[in-house]
Amino acid sequence: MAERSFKKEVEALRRGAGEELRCEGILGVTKALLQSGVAYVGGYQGAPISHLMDVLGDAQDILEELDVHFESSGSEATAAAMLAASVNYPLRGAVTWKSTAGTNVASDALANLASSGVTGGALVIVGEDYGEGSSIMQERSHAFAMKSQIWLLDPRPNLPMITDMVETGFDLSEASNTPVMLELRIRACHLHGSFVAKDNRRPKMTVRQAKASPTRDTSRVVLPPFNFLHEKEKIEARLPAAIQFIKERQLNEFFDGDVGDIGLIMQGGLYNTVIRALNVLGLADSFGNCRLPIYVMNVTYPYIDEEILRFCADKKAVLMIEEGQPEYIEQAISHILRRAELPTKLYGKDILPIYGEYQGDVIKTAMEKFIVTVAPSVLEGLSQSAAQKKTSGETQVLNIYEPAVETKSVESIAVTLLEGEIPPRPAGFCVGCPERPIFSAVKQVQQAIGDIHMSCDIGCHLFSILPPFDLGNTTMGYGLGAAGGSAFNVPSERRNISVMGDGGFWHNGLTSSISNAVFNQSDDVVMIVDNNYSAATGGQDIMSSRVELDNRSTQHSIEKAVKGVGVTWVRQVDTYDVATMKKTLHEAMTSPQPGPKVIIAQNECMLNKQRREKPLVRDKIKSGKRLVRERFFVDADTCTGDHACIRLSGCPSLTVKENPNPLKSDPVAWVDNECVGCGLCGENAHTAVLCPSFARTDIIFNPTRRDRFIGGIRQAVIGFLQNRIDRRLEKYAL
Amino acid sequence: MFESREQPVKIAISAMGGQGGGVLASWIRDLAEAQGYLAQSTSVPGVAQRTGATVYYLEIFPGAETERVGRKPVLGMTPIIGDVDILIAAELVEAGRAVQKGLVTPDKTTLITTTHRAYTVAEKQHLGDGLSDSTKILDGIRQVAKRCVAFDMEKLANEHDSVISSALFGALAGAEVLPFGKADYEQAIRAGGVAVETNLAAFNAAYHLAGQGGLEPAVPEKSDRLSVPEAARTRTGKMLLDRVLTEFPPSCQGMICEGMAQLIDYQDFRYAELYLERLRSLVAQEASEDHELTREVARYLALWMAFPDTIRVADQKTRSSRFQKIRAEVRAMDEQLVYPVEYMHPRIEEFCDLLPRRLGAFVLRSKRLRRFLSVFFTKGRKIKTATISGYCLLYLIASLRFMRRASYRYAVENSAIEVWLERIHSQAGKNPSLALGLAETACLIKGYGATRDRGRQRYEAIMAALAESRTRPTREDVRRLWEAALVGEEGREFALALAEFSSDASLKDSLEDSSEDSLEGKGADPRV
Repeated sequence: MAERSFKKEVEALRRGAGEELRCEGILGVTKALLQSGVAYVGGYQGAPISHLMDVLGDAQDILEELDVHFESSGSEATAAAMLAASVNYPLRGAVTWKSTAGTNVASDALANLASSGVTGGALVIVGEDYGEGSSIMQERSHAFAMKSQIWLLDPRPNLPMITDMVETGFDLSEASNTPVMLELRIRACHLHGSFVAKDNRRPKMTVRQAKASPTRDTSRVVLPPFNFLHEKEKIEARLPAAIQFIKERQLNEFFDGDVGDIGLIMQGGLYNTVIRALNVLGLADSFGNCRLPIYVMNVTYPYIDEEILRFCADKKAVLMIEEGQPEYIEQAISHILRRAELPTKLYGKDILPIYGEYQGDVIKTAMEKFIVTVAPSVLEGLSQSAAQKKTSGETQVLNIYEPAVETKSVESIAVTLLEGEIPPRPAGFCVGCPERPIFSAVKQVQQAIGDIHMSCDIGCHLFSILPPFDLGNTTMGYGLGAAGGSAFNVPSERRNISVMGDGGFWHNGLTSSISNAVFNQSDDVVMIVDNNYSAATGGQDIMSSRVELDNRSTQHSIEKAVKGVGVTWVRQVDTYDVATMKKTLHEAMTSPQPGPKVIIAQNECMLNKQRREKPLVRDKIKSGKRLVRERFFVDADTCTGDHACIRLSGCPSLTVKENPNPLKSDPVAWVDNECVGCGLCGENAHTAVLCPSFARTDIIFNPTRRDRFIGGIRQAVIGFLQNRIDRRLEKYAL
Repeated sequence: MFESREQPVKIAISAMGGQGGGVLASWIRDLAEAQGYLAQSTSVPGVAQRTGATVYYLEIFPGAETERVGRKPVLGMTPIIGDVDILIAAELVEAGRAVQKGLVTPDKTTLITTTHRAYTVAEKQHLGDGLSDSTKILDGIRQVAKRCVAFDMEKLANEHDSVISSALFGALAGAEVLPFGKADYEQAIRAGGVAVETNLAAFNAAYHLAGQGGLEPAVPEKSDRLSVPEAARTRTGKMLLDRVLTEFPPSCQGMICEGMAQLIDYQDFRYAELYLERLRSLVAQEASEDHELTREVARYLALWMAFPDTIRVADQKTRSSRFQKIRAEVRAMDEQLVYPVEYMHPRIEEFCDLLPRRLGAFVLRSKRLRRFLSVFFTKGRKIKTATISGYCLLYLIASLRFMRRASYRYAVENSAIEVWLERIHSQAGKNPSLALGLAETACLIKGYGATRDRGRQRYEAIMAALAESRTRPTREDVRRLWEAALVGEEGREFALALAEFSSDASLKDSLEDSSEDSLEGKGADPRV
């Protein structure tokens, strides 16, 4: 079960022509796929398109009604390869993944697909995980489009445009026999807006029909001599067809402005941010009317030379606003202008930052720089009008509080008062996460035997690199944990440890990491974190999920899989059992048995578990049934304020508060009410011999008559003794 | 060429992942849409958000203007510095972070923030007090905001069994910055359909507070002046209290009374008398009017004398007040039963602590005995204090108080205390600044087991470094050392500080020896 359910939202997918849909970008894209007559869909989850997979999963019924086949692909490579169905048949297919991480994985299949060319429209929806909130290396999908000759769409980020581009993308793909990528930036994927729906369309040909009457065309296979023909075809047939289509359908947009001799060229996805920045500068209104002419590239590859030349022809200077590096488009435009011997001066990364996300401020600053450089008169008198605008906006703002203190400039406040007071808050393990105890154990083992080289993977477990654990050296990709440690496969005093999640394991890890370690007779330790889901991407089910699903086969054992590829030393340990985990780790580090030592650390993702159990617990309590809830508690009086417990845990629920003892200033540990009673605090207190401040409290809801009877007797005896203590305390007081 | 002068209202929500910022954003969106506005919201999802800092962004635009122009406006995706109308923060440091980014500006931004803290790992993992200063943050953000509505919305939400989003939504309504009525807001919560009643309760409470200005007074600075009890509760207590009032200057009396009270609670009146004796000889020596040295020694001496041995832990865990505290903290209802399960891990050391002095020392020295006895102390124990057997066990241990003075642990701690006091005495007249430093270094002596051993080692290392120093170290010099000792468990920062101190000391030495003409020698190899 995924982190977020879209069961309610997907009903919107049934809406017909003319109805307005208010929804998130992701749901809009799904609706657009159905409106395009897509025949099959696949993909691999990962932010920012995880929800697209979740929506599709929850829309299974609707997909079946329309004869659309949907698969949760094993990896992005699988998803890309799935598009092979569009090579021979006029089947429209769409796949999705996180980019560039997923595009890297998929690039083998993508390159072959692009070489073969397609008959039916093939659309790849990539969620560009670049900039704010990104958890991967900062690269561009643009390079993949260029190298494999795949068309790249980067539409203006509003729902009507995005949904329209999905449908147009299929048309473009079919018109040019080329796969098309639709790039959506993070915030665009989760942009909530509205658009007017069209009717859903059943695919012209369904996958079932294609399968029933197979056709083949040898020239579509990537093998000599056809591979050479494919390259020729790309340049001589497909590219011109695409250019013609883009021009005819006017996919790129021209916006006029009264300052005619300078202009802006931008990727479509940046349009709203640019307009907002110009709006703040007083150069555009809220409806996009802008004083500077604009050429919006909703198709960022291929480039339409003719359009670019037309836009630049009467201008003395243009600014190319292109996010990410290298600046492929700017280089191309420079080349196009040079060829045409046009004197228009081209600005771009000389004014804008070379790298990093282009948020509003970045663009605003650059825009000022550009205008001051090429046409300073445009900005004259604007500061005043901008000020007017601000006051008019203020009319709806009432005053309650005016600070009595003198208002200082923003910078001075930030520098003086907040300096050093705003600690970083990176993402981390959730409350009660079953992965945290693993690293508590590793940290304790490391304290005992010395520093360990640790090769990490992709997934929540990568948070181990952060405080308080500070464990892990590198991460090389999904399922590549042990592969990333393979060079260290030499005899040494201390083995190294690699970590891999269950998601990574099934994605790629079984072959690239485990089989490789077996084959090369590695002696090192591999930890597989099995939490029942692909938790980092939003809790999607995978091969080893414990749940039984109608349309997926689950419950496949990781242990059997690794044994199947020849691992002989395998242990499965409950992650919360720190003592056993420590013992097992010690054993794995020292065992004389040859071959990789695989430890499967098993327990369920707490987010998913809570989502499932909380309502059940609530119902049980409501209906009067007996229930024991566990949570932890720290004695403030005995806590020393050293926080060793926190350094072994980092649980958001294990936090600090003011010391109740007026003589002490160190804050004491305490457990807030978010505690789910996972038990790690107690395990750590025991295994690391911390301090006697930790107690678990078992709270009995709806106690039975027997509970109350025993409780009464206990209370009588304990109460008697406590009275004695109280009497002594009365005697011994100041 | 412009068609409209209308601007969207720009709202940013600065929160932590998992706090429900998305719910708040959707309420605002629903509210605006229901009132005929166009609303667009964006967020950053995914693993990058798990418990980390994140920003939600909304723009809302009047529908009437859209109809007049006949087109949809172009709405922004991210907040721009100096262009945010309303900044809502779901945690105080996140408000500070938004201010640091420049999202709050004096000419424009209404800041609606809770004042509660969710501490970051960086703050929590410190070996002492590593927390950011909330007062400073609140001061800073108030000064940059055009208006500021700030109070503890987390507490308020908890009081109504709701979540912080409801309180923030209520504060937004109460601040009346958006052109919507209170009922419109409530409708958005109702339309959400989840926990409507409790959410509305928290919403209303926050609405009223915000309407009244919603500014919380800053937390007062923690003072080192504690108050003196008005009257003693016991006869012996009165005698002691009178002694404090006659023999000690007013600036120390509060601290000493608190120390005394804790030591009576810990042991008995005689023990508190010992405490007074120890302080009396010091106060006579102190020349300063403020008597800061006596006050600080009073603080740390009381803490050290009340060292937490097994007897103390058992004592604290068996009190009725503790059982009440637990019930309150876990929010147990009257009819519910609560059973604490204590996680204890006594080691052979703790066992020997309780033995008579000579016997304890003997066992700890004898390898054989240690090994034999260790068998009984390998595992942690879970003791149910609310069952008869578990309670009686701890009750018995607590009652060993009568033989504490004869115990091995008492002997160890007592002699260390005496050495510490002796050191302070020897400096109190000569170098009062250093004496204060020596007194404060006792803050490293705390806790149990490994924590206490580590603190004690670092304490001794500082004492040794000070003893070796031939210069005149000041309180600041010593403070730098013990502060470094509290930074990391591995002690890298501490080793560095010690090395720096030693080289500084010898450098100062050599400078004092040579002529005072220049400071060029600074930074040079101190060995030269």
